[in-house]
Amino acid sequence: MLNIKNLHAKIEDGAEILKGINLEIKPGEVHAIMGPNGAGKSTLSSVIAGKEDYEVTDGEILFDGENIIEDAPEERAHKGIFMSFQYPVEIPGVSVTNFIKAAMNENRKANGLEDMPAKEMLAEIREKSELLGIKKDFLSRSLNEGFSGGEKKRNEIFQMMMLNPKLAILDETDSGLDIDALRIVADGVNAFKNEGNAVLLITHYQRLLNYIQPDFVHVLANGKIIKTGDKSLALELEEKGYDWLLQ
Amino acid sequence: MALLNQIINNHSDFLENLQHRFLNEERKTALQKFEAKGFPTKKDEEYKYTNLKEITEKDYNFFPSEEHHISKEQLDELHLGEEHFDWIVFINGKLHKEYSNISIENAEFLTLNEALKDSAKKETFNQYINTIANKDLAFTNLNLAYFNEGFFLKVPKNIVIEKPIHVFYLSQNQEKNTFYNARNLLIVEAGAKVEVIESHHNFDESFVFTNSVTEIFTYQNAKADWHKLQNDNDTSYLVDHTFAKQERDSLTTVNTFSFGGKLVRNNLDFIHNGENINSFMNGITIIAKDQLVDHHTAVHHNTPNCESYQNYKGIFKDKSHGVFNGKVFVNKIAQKTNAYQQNNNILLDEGATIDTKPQLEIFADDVKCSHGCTVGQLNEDALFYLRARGISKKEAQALLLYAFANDAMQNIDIEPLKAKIEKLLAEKLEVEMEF
Repeated sequence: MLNIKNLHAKIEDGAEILKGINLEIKPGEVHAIMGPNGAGKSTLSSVIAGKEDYEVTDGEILFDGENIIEDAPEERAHKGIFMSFQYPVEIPGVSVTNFIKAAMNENRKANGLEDMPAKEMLAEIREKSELLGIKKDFLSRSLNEGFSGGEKKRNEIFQMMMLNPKLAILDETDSGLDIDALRIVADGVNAFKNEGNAVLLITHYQRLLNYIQPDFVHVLANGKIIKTGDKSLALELEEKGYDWLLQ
Repeated sequence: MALLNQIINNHSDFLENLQHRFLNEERKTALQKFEAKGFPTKKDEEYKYTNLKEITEKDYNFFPSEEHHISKEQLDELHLGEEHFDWIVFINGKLHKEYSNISIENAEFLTLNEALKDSAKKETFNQYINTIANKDLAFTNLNLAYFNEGFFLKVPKNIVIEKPIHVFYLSQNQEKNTFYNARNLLIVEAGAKVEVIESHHNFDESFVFTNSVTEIFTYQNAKADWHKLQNDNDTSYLVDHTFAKQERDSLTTVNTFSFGGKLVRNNLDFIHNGENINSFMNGITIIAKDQLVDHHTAVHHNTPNCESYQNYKGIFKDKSHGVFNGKVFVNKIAQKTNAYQQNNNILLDEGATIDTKPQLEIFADDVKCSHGCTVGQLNEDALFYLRARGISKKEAQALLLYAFANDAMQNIDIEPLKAKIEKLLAEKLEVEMEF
């Protein structure tokens, strides 16, 4: 599904951050990328999602066999890439419901589908929000405005479930969450997960991986994946830190 | 100065045409006062950023032809929903009752043309007209000399007018450029309540220049809301002066939503004459091409324990130009004043400009006055967030601009008006979406 080959990227007019990333994600897989601060984890997710602040200087990102490096962020979303943000943006005056409607219908339009009938949309919203324990009044509040850290993350997962992407990249979704919120978010991701889609988790800590079982764990340091293992690698990192790998 | 000469030469014909019973002497004096100084120029501090030359260099017809071809459908398009509003329709300077729907009960409603022909109305009229308008301004004097139509509405004590009143000034079927002077008087007596929406529309390709003056009197514990929906076409100029005088415990709002018009100058004066007064001024300006919208506000805090809130948002595309000048005067007896002023702007293109200037003159020592102005561009991270959800760049921009403008809409309690503003916003940003 996602095949990243020798990816080099830098900040526009700045230093190189990704220095030759290779990563393959197949349908049905859950991958976790861990690494110390400043390793390039968030840059990698931003580059996959198409943030224009970064310039890809070498390599390619293939999604379903197609190089997406020239695609705008919205085109990547239309192809089925979703990224949950570490810091979701507050949009006063636009309700959660209206926003998700706009996003859903834009994606449908791009894929040659009609707008989803209002009734169907509401049923969908109700189902997904109940699953995440989202209260009704939450849906009529302005998007992310005055939301707690936990509410913002839950809202990100809600959007992911509504948009139902092929590949979900969760960037530090666990940061700032208490244990109950973490469990709800993880339940959401597990409910979303199926044989046809894939999840890429970007995280500092091992604890999220107690709730979402990864098939692969990669260590990203200094712009490169320096080690790949299974779930046990995460536990090892938890115990020993990153230093032993960096030497 | 083409218009200046016409103004001087046309006045006696104009007065003769009117056949009014009173006010003629005051009109002549006002004309003399106007003539003494003429139109303000860029040398005038108040018009430093707004050049009126393109208005004053043109020739205008002072006597618009009455005939018009505005269809019911065209009118319906301007309405915000028939059942929830009263509406007053002036076309080519004349009230058209057949297009209006005036169901106001228990209130005194007159058109100025009617009122001025009736000597019995002289006393009521003189009690209010030109009593709070600044008598030293070119445009207020010009308006007094030449106003012809407009309305007088007096809401008596404790009467609540349920339906908002939408007033339309329409111009159509004029081959030449046309000059209108509109005048409105709103008197809201103690404990009474009313809401007015004002819009001007020119349907022609010839230019319309409207010089409008409104005086609002809000008495004790009364509430007056006035919304200016400025959505005229590219061949219209508007210079507006609105004066609101408030007595104790009253609440007055003037909202100005500016989307259209080639050049619009809004002047807003709030005069406090009692304690515990609340004044609200909100503005949303979204303009493009070579449009200019200029907001000049002034709040005169003359009395203690009063509050004023100004919140103006501007979005400027292409080569458009915005001006904001907000004055707050706090008299030395006006202790415990709370005056808030905010002007935020987003420039979307390199050619767009904004001149913004807060001006506070505070002579009391126990007050809370805050002001702030910002000029910026859209937040790139926010844009990326929306685009990463599959929303196109243009629509993502529109959503963010809507969010930016949104808090200046907070105190609109007329839902169809809010919906209309949202629709105009989408149109102006060239997107098809509901917010």
